[in-house]
Amino acid sequence: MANQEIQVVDKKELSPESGEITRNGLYFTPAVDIFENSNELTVVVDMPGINSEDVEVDLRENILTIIGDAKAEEFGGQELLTEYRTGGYYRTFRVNNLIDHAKIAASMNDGVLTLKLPKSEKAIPRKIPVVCD
Amino acid sequence: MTIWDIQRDPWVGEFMRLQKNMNNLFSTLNENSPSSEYFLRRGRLFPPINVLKDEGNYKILAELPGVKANEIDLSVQGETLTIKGERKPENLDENVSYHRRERSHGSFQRSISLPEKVDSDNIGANYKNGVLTITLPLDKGSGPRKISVSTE
Repeated sequence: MANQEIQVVDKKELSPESGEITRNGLYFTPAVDIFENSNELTVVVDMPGINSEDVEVDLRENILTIIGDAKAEEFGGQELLTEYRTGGYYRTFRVNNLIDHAKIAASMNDGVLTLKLPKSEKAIPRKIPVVCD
Repeated sequence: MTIWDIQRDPWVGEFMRLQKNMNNLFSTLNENSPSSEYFLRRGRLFPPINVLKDEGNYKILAELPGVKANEIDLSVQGETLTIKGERKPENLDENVSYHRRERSHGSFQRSISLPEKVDSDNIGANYKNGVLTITLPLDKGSGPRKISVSTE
């Protein structure tokens, strides 16, 4: 798949249906990948321009909330071309209750937030050996 | 006393038509309408860039989250700046099931022609949090020069 060309996807401004945010400034709905294997759920979120310390991840009552706050940048120049807008990111998901809350890990690299949500013991499928007498 | 019957004036109808067409044009360019999305998306290249200019520099900012700094290939030839690279998929494990797959991956290449001569020896690039910032100092020698006009 190395020859596949990357697609440009316009940033979508946060719509009121996806949850209102009581903060100032522009917030976008970030693009995400969510996948799971038998042990964990992984959430990958594109948040270019956000410092790792400005990211908030919160999971309560099965609602996972991801917020990235943008630092306003001062530039005393002339804008010649604007193809993308800058701002924060906000997105919420409902996750099932089989996540081990204590073991959630988050990392931020090159503007991409990766969340690992391990499944709790009871959610991991276990093989039960069938013994034949 | 003259009573203006607007409906009979041929110019009013023409003007109304013009106004309607203009309104249509602007609503097409309105960000939220679906047709403008088509206009804006057409011919768009990755990464999206913002270009700024201040006193002595051009500043090009590009959003390319998920690309490693050492995998960005940046070059300048003449007055053309080229950004090349590849965004690799996050997950290579086959045994997963996807719930969302919105982030695209693949290779990209984008060339930008610089409108003025820049000092290509002093171009700086910095990559942080998925945003590439390229600083291009303007070539001092190519600035506007005053030419005195002599009279005979």
